[in-house]
Amino acid sequence: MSAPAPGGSAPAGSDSGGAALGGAWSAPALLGLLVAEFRKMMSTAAWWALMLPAALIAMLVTWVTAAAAGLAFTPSLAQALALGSFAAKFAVVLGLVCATSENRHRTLTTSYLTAPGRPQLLLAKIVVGALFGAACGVFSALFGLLGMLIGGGGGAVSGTEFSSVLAVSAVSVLVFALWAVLGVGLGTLINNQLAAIVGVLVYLLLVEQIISGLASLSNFGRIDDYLPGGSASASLTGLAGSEPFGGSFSGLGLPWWLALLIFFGYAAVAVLAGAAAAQRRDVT
Amino acid sequence: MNGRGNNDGSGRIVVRNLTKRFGPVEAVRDLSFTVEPGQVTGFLGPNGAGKTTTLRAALGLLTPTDGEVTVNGVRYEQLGSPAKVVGALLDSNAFHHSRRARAHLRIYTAAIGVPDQRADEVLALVGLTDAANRKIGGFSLGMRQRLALATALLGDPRILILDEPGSGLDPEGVAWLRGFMRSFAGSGRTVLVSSHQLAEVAQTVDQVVIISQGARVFEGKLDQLRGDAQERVHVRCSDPTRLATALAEHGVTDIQSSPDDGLTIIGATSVTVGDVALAAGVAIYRMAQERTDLEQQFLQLTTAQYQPRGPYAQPGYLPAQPGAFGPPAQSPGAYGPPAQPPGAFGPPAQQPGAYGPPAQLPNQEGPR
Repeated sequence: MSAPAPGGSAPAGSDSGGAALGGAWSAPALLGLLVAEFRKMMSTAAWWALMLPAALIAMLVTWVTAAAAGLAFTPSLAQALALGSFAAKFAVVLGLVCATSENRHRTLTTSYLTAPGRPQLLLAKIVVGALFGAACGVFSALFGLLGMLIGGGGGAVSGTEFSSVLAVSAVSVLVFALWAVLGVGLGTLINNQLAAIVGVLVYLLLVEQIISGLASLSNFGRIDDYLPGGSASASLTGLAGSEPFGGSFSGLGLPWWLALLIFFGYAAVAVLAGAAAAQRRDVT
Repeated sequence: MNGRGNNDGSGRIVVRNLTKRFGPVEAVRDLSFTVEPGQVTGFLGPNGAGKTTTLRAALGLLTPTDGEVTVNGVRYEQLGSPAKVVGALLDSNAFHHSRRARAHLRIYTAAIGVPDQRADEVLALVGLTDAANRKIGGFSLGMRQRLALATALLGDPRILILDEPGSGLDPEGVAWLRGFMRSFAGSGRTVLVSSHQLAEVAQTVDQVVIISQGARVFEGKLDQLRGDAQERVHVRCSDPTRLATALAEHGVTDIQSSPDDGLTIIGATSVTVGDVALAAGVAIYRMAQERTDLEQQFLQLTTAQYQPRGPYAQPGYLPAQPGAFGPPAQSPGAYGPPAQPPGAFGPPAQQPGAYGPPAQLPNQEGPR
């Protein structure tokens, strides 16, 4: 009876002290879920359908800024804007799609039935989401550099400025990964794919601008860097060199690592909220 | 099995005082039953009776409002690697349509922790080998149903839970599924299969659990259900009205007209009907005695869910299915002589319009 299954199954589960939790959190079980999530992503078109436009828009922005406003923008700032304000939106959508497509295509039931538990499944989604987000960041940074070379020529990309561009590009990989993780968390919380994507984009493109705009008019002053989208952007613009418009891109001038830490906090909150919602939610 | 936790490896499913409320709706009410290994258990009830809710609660997808369901003696979440213990087919449309069949299965071989070639094994088992590289979006409903079954079988489980597996399958597929369930249970494993049609599973199941409106109305062997059946006589005669009246005077009041101008008499033998017809001077052209079949027993048990309301509660012209969808609104599921069965043939004085236009029957037209 079912001899093949236990025989070929995770041996680490049976020697982990007999506790149900031990098997449920064993390394083979978690690794299996990671492979499953990776295959989920690779077997649909979503990953390249989002990475490609992210990279192209990064290239377009650096190209145009380098060609048209090469004197006003330092190359590192152009790269920071192209990645933080444009391409990064695709990373959060990637995370949202990763989490919500299970609900949309009703595969969540099968995923829950084949996972040791819901937290383990979410953990696998977070790791795989972060990997794809990071990959999106790498491609976007490379295409951003490419756009700069096409638009501004190699002259601008040299010496100390070039190391600044590299620093922005490197941190952007981390920022993109965090955007995807935040997307996985929010997608797990909201569940409805269309509502999640539209809601997050409307917030980032509109609501956050209104909030920071109103705050700057009131006696709160500039709070951009403390908001989710603003903190992510500030962690890149803060790394960029001189600011030609008198600091208008990172109003508070928070150090980049502090902005990154704040953004990390938002991603963590989104994941915890998603985990709490998923644990309680009935799958009908 | 793996001896993990308190998992006793029995292959037994125990539903204990399960209650599930969705807001104000009580989908399942204090439901208890046990599913034993080595046999096929049918889980029957009309649509909306709470079958899917019960199965999803058993699989840890829903949190019960009260009570619990255990599999192998533990709750589903405590099984460790659940898909190696329980395989479930719940939804024949739970696929990302742009994935190919093999890619879909290889997601879950990884998640379950079985070798990837298991995907091809289960594809062969359900006869989908040729479609392995096709996108699921192009699959017919029957193919999706078979792919869903293949997914359930990936972990080589010893318990199989199937929710309405017959829907979408062609007759050949249904026959295959029957054979599959029988051999699965025959090897000592557990099958719990739900259906809203008794006929669909009657040939396959050893044990049935019937629920209606979220509560259990029967649990036992099919033969037990059959044993409760009542006699039924179908008659064609020269004067149905006079025969019905005469029978009513003999205390046989559960009579209904059938579309072929005949009568269906419940709770009387052909001897009684023949004697009464002779005494009343009605010529019998044809008479057939039968036991109420299983389907009608099933309908009788579950019919409380279909108390007619509104304009469709029309009496008068009944199909040859006593107690099914007809007007016995006041006596749901009761085959015994109801006090005043509308649409049946009581003494004419009390029942105006028995054969006539059903315009003015009592208890039917007014607001309920």
